[in-house]
Amino acid sequence: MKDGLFFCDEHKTELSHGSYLYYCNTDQYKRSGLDIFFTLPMDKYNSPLIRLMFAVICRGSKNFPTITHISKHLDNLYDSSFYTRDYRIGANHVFRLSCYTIDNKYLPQKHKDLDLIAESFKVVRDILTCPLLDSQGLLTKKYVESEREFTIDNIRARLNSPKAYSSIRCSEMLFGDQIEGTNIEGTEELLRNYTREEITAAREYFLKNSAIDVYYVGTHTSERVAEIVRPLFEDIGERTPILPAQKRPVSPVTLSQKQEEFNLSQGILKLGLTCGTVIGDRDSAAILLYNEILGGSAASKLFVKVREENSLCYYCDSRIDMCTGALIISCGIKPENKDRALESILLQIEEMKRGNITDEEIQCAKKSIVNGLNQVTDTVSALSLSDFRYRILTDKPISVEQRKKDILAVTRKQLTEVAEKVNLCSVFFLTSSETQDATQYDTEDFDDE
Amino acid sequence: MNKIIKFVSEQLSETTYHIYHKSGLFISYVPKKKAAFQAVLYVNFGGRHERYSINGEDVTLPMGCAHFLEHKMFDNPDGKSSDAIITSLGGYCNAFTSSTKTAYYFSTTENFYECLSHLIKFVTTPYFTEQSVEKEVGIIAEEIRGCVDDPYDRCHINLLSAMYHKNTAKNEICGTEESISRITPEILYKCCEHFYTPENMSLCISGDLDVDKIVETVDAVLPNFSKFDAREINETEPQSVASKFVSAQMPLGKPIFCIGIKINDIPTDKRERLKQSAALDIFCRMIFSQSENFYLDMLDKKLISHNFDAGASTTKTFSYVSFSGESDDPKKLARYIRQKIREVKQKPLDAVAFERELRCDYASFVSDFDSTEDISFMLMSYASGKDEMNIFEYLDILNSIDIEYIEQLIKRVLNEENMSLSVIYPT
Repeated sequence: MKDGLFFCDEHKTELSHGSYLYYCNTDQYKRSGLDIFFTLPMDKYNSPLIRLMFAVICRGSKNFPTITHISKHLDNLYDSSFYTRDYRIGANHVFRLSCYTIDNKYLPQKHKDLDLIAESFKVVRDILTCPLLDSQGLLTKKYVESEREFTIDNIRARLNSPKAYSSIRCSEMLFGDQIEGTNIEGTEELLRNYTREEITAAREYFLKNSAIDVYYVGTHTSERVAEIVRPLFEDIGERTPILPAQKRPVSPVTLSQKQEEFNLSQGILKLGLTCGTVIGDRDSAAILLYNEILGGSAASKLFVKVREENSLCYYCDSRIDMCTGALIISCGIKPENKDRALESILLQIEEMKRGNITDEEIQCAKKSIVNGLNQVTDTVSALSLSDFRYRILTDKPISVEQRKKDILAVTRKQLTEVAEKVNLCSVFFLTSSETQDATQYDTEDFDDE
Repeated sequence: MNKIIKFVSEQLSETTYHIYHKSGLFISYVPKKKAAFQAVLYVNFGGRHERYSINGEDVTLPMGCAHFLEHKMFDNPDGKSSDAIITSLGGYCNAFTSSTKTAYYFSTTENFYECLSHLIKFVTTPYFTEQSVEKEVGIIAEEIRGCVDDPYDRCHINLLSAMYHKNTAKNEICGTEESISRITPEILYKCCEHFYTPENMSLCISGDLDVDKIVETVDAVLPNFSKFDAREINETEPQSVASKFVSAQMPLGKPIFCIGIKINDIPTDKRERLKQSAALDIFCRMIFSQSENFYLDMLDKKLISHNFDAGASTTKTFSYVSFSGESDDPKKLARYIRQKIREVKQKPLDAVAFERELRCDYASFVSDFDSTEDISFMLMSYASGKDEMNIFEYLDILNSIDIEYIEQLIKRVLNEENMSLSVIYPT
């Protein structure tokens, strides 16, 4: 560690032009390993396409032709995990591929020589560079069609969670046409229109043009890890990585309000606000503190005033996306209490603008954030992601210690200054036409056909 | 007099302490050099505790009492909420109620002993008024409505209602709007008096702490022994399932399902029970995980999607194997699962698959020692004062499982005819 950074620049190793291995040598974790981040600027057409492509190639590869082959290989390596997920980080679409193994120290004697990280990385390399292709050189029809249908099912499954559905709708209203609000899952129509040729070509584009950053945490030396990972870049060949999109806060839009009806028992109210501040900005610590005071904990204004004092809801909280400066307030309420809840929430936002914040609220919020920051180093996953987010959006990592200092240094004046910049842009209410139990029951034997 | 016992695992490079506190409270602690300290104080009183006897008297509680109590224990006479107090000390505090327990926990990176002292105080010091109970009814009613609107919750609760005739495992943990309206401060005080005694509680801790200071902190808050006298009254549960199929409709993209196979043979000994549960989990992965052809076959048939899951749940009073996910045809999937279980019971299990899944279980257990949060919840499951069992014994239990044990177990306890299917269909 240097300058309080776990992944300091002195320890980074170049794997390929512009791609680095960020390395942290430690034996404090029993399970650790690799995180590979692939970053591309978001695009309304290409982001869902690449997402679909990624799902297809993870179904199988030349040497691991099915999920079963992949899973068996990894399970044999003491539950070595290989999981993928994608994020929106600012105006960037980021794929994260994680490959974690338990440390050899904990293996039974007969297996202590197993090279878990090298063996599990074989899967990663094969999936990315040896896809399963048909005689025409295209990704197989079976996997393409299967993943297309699963992705469409996932889009339809937004309805399964009223809370998640409401968040999506509120965000759509908040972001409007701004690229940061791109729906990376896509729409059913878009997904049905992608051809197999396009999906296959997306793989080449993805590998050649993503910015690739590799993180390793564990007990292997950086030389050994580089030796394992470098062949991936050799397989990919010449690359022309596109620079990640610069950070910028989402711009305020004219306030819009929408209401939809589902057959539900509980109404869900979502408010979308813009803050004008993102990660790395001068007042980013202040806006983080603002969010915590407003609705980040059990001591927050929303929890105490809207839930506890007015008994209007089971939950009322706020969350901020520091990559876009979007703040979402969420509340579960009886439909007939909507106006009262909205009024109470707006009052708390107004109180923040007026500077009606107690010293106790400020101190509690500071402690709460510092508590969270202190724990970043407790898990490998949080450690890597935290560093990566700063690098991708600010190009200058900030240590956890510095982030804590910045939070503790925020003044009341700075809080009211950021509060002034907060704009309400969207109000979405998912309500029910009835307030009774929304489910119906009947019984029959499932064997009967 | 307090008794402290230390256990060491060379294999895991970990240590654990058991503290039999003079108040009757059992404390388990795993030292861990992490930034976060975590403590969980749990009471053996949960959603299924509906009837009990004490001092010759039979008591029946409205459904949802344990959960209601969980909400109210945070109240203090001065009006301040205990989670806000722990937040002011720099910690994060929360609680949950399950079928068998209510757990109050906090994590913090500073002021651990102050937070611990406050945690124990507020969990052992009830304060309820007519006004505060009435106010909470509104809040919990909203929580109930939120659960009613969650199709995954609904599907699971419906499954339990289908599998069990009388077992209170099927009780809605939050209760219903009707049942919670009958809860009074008197009922809550009685529940506290009868169940919230140190002898019926356990404290699980992990972090970079001093064991003597932990004991000193608990000594100051719980100076006296307090006996636990309540005895559960459980009705006899028939062996068969109550209903083979239950369905409902909600706004959904695709049908979701829960399939359960009821298990009636539950060992009374904790170690045997854990062994049975672990073996059933291993069995489920040997046959139904992504590493197996059944998964691939069902995926190709579009009878499951990537979120298909299978596993076992076991407590002292109920046990089942379950499968969950989304499916275009849940009934067809249920018939395939039933058929698969019939087939595997008739021939030897695959030794290679067994070895592979045993490695996974071992690695998963080892990995959980990376997090103070995971450790404290593992202590809840594995460390027991009454049974004198420490967390490292779980490895011994895993090592004692062989393929013959699983083969005999599934023939003895897994009756695929005792299967219930719960489906939520899109409206």
